[in-house]
Amino acid sequence: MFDGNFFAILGAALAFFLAGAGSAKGVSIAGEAASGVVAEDSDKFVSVMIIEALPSTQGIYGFVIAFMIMAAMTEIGPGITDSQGLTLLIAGLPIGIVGLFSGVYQGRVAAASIGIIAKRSSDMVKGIILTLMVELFAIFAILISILMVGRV
Amino acid sequence: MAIIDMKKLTLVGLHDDKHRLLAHLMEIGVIDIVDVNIDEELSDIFSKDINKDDIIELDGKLHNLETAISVLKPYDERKKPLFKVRKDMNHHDYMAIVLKRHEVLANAKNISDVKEDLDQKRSGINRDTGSIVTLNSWSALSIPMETDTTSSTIVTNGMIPAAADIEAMRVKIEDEELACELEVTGSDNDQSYLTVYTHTDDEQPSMSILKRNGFSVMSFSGYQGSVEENIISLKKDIDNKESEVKDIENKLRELSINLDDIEIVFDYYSIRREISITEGEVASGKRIFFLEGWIPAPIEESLKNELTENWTVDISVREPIDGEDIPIMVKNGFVGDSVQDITEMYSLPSYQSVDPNPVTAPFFLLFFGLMLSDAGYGLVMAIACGIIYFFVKLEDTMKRFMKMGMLAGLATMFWGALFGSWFGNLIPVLAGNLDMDLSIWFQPVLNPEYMLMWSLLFGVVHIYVGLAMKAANLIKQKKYFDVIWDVVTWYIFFTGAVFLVMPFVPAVPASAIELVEPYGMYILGTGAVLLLLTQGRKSKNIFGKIFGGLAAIYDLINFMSDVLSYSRLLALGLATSVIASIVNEMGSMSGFTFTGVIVFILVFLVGHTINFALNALGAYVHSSRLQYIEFFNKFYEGGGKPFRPFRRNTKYIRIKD
Repeated sequence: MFDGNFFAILGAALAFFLAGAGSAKGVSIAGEAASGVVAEDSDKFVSVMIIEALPSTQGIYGFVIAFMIMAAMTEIGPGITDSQGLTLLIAGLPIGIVGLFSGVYQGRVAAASIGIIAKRSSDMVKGIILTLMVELFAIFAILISILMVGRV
Repeated sequence: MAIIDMKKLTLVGLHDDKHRLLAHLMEIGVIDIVDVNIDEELSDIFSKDINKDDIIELDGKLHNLETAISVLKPYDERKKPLFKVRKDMNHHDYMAIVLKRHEVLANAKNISDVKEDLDQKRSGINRDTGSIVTLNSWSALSIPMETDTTSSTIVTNGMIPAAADIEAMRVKIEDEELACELEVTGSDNDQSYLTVYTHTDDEQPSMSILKRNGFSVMSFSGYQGSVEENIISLKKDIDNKESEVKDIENKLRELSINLDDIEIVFDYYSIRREISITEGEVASGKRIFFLEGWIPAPIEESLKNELTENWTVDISVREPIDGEDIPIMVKNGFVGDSVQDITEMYSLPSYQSVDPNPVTAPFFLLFFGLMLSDAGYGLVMAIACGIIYFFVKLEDTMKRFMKMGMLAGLATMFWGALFGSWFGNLIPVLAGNLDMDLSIWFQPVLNPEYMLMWSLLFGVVHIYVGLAMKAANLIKQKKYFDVIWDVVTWYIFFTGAVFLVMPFVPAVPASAIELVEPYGMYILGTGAVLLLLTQGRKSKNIFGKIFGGLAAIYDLINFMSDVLSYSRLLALGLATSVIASIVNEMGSMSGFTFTGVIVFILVFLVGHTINFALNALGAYVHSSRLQYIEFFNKFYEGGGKPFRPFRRNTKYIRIKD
C-alpha cells in the first residue's frame, strides 16, 4: 500500500488541504470583520471585499502545487519509485504548512485592516499593503514547492 | 510629464467688486486660494469677514437636501447609468431651478417628514405584530381582558415556568384553606399561562405561594374585551398601517421626480458654501480687498491679461519661497496618466522631487501583465476597458481607471503571447494535442526556474531604476555631489552583490557566471568601502560617522529581500496559467458530444471568469505593492498636498455656460 504512488498523492493532498484550510480560516476571520463593517455602511462593501479576498491566495497556491504534483506523477508514469513519491510528498509540505499558518495569520491582519476601512475608507491601500506583508511567505513557500517538484 | 511649477499670486481688487470677482474666479477655477495672513501693520485696515453663521445655515440646508436625496434614491425608478457621471447643464436651465430653490428646500423638508411618518408606521406594525404573538398565548382566556377586581375577588393573570408543579400548588392552597382558584389558560414549551382568582382577604398569602414558584404578573392594561376581539382589531390595525405605508411609498415614488431639482439645489448651496468659506480667507478693507493663491506657472500671463482687461485689479505674481507649502499638480502623457491615482493612493510627490508617474506606469503595467500573463484574459480585458474608455461618458478618475485597465490588458496580452497562454491551454486542449507549444519565448510552467531568474532580474532592473529616480530627485534639488555618494556607491555595491549571488540562482547560464563572478568580490568590496566612507558623513560626531557607514552595509540584506520579493511575478503568473489549464481539462472531460460541448462551454465561462477575477485582483494589488514598497522606498519623497483650485466642486451637475 505504501508505494510511491501513495506518497505522491498524499503530498498533493497535504499541499491542498493544509493551505486550503488556512485560507478558509483566514477568509472567514476577515469575512466576519467585513460583515460588521458592511452592516454599518454598505457603501464600503467593495473595499472590504477586496481585503477579505486577500487570504484566499494560500488555497490557490496549494491547489496549484497539488496539481503540479499530479502532473509530475503523470509524467513519471506508473513506475513511480518510493523515493520519487516521498520526494513529491515532501515538496508539497512547504506550501501546505506555510499556507495553513500564513492563511490564518493573514486573515487576522486582514480583519484588522478592515478596521482601518471602517474608520477611514481613504486608507484602504495602507490596509492592503499591511495584509500583503504576510502573503510574501506564502509566495516563498509556493516557489520552494514549485522548484522542489521540478527536481523530481 | 511632470510636476507643474507653481507661482504665488496676490490680487488686490475693489471692495465693491468682491462678490462678482470671486464668482468669476470660481468660474475660471485655476487659483488655489490660501487663507491670507494679514500683517500686523495692516491689521487696522484689513480684516477677514469669516461668516460662521452663514456657513452653519448652509450646512443645515445641505444636510436637509442630502437627507431628501438619500430618502428618494431607492424610489427613483429611472434607469441609472452603469458609471455615475455629473449631468451637463446650461447656465440658463440651472438658474431657472435655482430661482425656485426655496420651494425645493420646502419640498426636501416635506420629504424628510414623509420619511419620518413612514418609519413610525413601520415600527407601529412591528409593535402590533409583537402584541399579537403575546396575545396568541392567551387565546383561551375566558373572561374580558380588562377584568381585574370584583367586589370581593381579585383576578390576576401571569406566567409560571413550565417546570413548576401546579398540582402541588393547588394542594398547598387547599392545606392553608385559602380562597384561591388557579385556572391554566394555556401553556407552551417555556411557561404556563395562569389566571388566578382569589378572595380579597386571601390575596397576600396566595400570591406569596405562587411567587415562590416563579409566578410573574402580566398586566393587560389598555386592552378591552376578549382576547380574540383584540387580536382581530390589531390585525385590522396592521392592515390599515400597511396600506398607509403603501400609500406613502407611492407618494415617495411620485416625489422622486423632484430628485433632479433637489440635486441641483444641493450643488447650488455647496457652491455658495465654498464661496462663503473663501470669503473668509480673503482680507477685506473699506474700499479694497486682497487675496493670495497659487496658480500653475504656465497660465500666469493669460490669467493676468484676462483679469486686468475686465476688472480693476492689481496683480503681482512671484516665485515660491523655500519652506512654503506649495500645492502639487501633476500632468502626464497618455501612459503616465493611467497610474496617477495609484501613486496618489500612496502619497502625492513632494514639490522638490520629480514626478514618478512616467516611470511607474510601464513597470506597473508590465508587472501586472506578468502576473496575469494570459493573452486571452488580456484581450478580453483590453477590449472591455477600451470600449468603456472610448465610448462611455465617464468622470476623470473612472476614465483614467479604464485607461489603466485597457493598457494593463494589452500588457497581459503581450506576456501571454510570449508564454503561449491563450485562456490557459485552450487551443492545445481543443486540438487534442497537449504538447503543442504556442509560446514565442518559453513556457514558464515547463521551466519555472528560468522564469524565476527572469523575475528576479526584472526586480533588479526595477530597483536600479528606483535608484536612478533618486539621482533625478537629487539633481532637481541641485545636490550634485550627493548623486555620487548616495546613488553611484549603491550601484557599485549592489552590482557586486548581484554578481556574487548569481551562481546560487537557478538557471543562470554558466557563461554569464564565469564572466562576472570573479569580479563580484572586488566590486562589492569597493562599494562597501565607499559606503563606509560616505554614509556617515551627515553625522556630527565620530561614532555617528562610523556607525552610519556600518548601518548602510546592513542595507544589503534589505536589497536582497527586495529582489526576492519579485519572485511573486513567477508565482502569481504560474497560478493563473495552471488554474486556467485545470478549467480547460475539467471542461473537456465529457468528450466531444452534444452534452460534452455544453458542459465545456459552461465550465469554460464560469471557471475562467472566477480565475480571471481572482488573479486580476491579485495582479493589481501585488503590482501596486511592488511599486509602493520595493520601488518608492528607494527614492520617493511624498507628503505633497494636492492643488485644489477655487472652483465649482459640484456633486451632481456640471454647469456649462
